Amino acid sequence: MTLLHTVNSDASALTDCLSALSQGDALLLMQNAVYALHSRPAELAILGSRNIRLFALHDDLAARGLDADAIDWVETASYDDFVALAARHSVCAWY
Amino acid sequence: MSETSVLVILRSPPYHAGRSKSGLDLAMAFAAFDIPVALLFMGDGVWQLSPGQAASEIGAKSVEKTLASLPLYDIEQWYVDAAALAARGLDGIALPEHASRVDDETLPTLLGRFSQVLVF
Amino acid sequence: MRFSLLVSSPPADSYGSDPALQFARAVVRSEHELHRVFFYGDGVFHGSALAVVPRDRPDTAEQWAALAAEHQVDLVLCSASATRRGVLDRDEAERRAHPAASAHAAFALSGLGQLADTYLLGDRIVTFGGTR
Repeated sequence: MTLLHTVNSDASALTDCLSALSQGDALLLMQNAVYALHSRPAELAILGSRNIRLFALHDDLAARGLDADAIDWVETASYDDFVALAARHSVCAWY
Repeated sequence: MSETSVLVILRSPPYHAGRSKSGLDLAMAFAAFDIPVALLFMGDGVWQLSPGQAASEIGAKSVEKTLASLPLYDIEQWYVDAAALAARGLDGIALPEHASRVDDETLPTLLGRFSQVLVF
Repeated sequence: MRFSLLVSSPPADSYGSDPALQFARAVVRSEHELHRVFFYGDGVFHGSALAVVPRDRPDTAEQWAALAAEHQVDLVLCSASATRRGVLDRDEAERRAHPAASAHAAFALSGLGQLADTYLLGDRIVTFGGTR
């Protein structure tokens, strides 16, 4: 079974989540975790090579004045996308 | 419906905003409804396994004692992140017989074995 | 697919729209169904009828209540978490001889057994946790 992991902070929640990811899982950054695109890019950019899709919640990026369009290793997700992802995977929330 | 199984990940230290207690309360509730429950201690959650907790000093209930009572609720499948123990100088502590140490490679595969994973 | 939510983040955690509420709204406009929202720990404050919300901010309890009424969603406050935090429905207030109920009428208090039941029903459960 593959999982959708959600993370809402860029501190230890993200660290612990990263150590628990498996091939085929997906990771959605939300709330303050979206800052990790800038503060921890090295750990996140390699996920694609492990067949782990990385998403960041559009609303939380926009609220913080962040733009992920220039980052080619992350996809932007709406809440509708979040629901579609959650329907495909069992969900594990790190907070 | 028998395929429901829950892994409760405990990643917070004890006595931190009641998070470990919340996780253990849920684990015990699941067990009371015959849902198979396993625990994974990782990150700062391994501090819960640290011996000699005198929680009454801060007016709290002992997480150590709660953990010791879990076999009575049939919660006897425990996994402990070995790297997290080592990083905190806890590799030498005695773990109960029903606890298994998991390494970095095994830990991620554990999550996929349960129908639900909850983090506290 | 049938979704249920487990919300342990307090309403003040989300300075704008609450993520759990945003997700719930996205579920009901999708082809999926939203069955139950179980509020646990500090999440029970979502169901307080006594919170005074600044005029320019949305009232969380009212927003959940409106969603639940329109889409037949169960709003459940974990009774142990809620009573400890002073969020009591009429029954609890009477039973404990407290002067008033403080839970919004759209929310029901129930035990952790109901959460276990939600898991046994095989709902896809999505958790929204706090940030501490």
